[in-house]
Amino acid sequence: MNCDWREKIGLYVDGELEPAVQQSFLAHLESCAGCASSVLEQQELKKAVRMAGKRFTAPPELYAQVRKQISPATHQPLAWLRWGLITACLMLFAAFASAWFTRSHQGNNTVAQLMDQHVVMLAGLHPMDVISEDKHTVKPWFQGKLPFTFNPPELAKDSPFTLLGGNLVYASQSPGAELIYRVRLHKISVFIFSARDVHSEPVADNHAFTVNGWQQNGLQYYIVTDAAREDAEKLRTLLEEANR
Amino acid sequence: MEEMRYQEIAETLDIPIGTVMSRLARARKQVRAYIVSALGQKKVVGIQR
Repeated sequence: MNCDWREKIGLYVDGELEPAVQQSFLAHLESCAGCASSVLEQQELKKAVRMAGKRFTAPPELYAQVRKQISPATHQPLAWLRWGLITACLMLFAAFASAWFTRSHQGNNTVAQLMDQHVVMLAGLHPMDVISEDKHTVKPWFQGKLPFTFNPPELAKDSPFTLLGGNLVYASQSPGAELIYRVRLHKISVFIFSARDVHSEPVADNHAFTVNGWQQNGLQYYIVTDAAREDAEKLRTLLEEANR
Repeated sequence: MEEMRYQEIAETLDIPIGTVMSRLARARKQVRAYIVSALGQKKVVGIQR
């Protein structure tokens, strides 16, 4: 992407643009797919890091070390301070990220694995395996890839939900489907596994996430989303009706 | 994560605001590269594709 506005993307995402410049930037976004896509990516990345930050706490020693290095009282040569700060930030982010991956690797907790998968999907770092708003495209895509079948609900024209696509996922060494829906500005992951492979676990909302789980006709369903609990309930009802 | 404005960060750390911007841009780039490489190497751990 070679665009004069490129350097403004970070400022825009952080809400640091002057109002007049922001107006011009927004106008530019309408005609520049490259910048629009970068803005979206930066926003999703920021959201994912914020969520990871809420789920894990850095050890107090790391905090103390970072604070010591960036303390204004310790006036060290600028180059040292700059590299110290960058290293400290990276250690902090690396601690979050490795805690995130390590926790999913330990793996007995299916819900934690599914929440991680939802965060990865939100971060938009992988394209979806199947991208379609049409359930008649998404459902057949899973045929032959899963040892079970399911029915995505038929969505009415005025439904608040939109099907975005799906991913083939694994949890506890078992294959399953992730259906991705949008409701207003939020995304919802619906995970479906065979109940023989993935057992029911008690679910509770975790920080920013709403989690909803149930079993029906030999399948284990989990909904993970940052949307309101009522939205998860509505989507669950639609899924239950479609799979009676 | 602390939800501070650039100006607040600059004042807290006693550094110019331009330095705040350049460090944030660099950190963003490195975090993105870290996550992409972690996902690339391990795919998604526990949720293998």
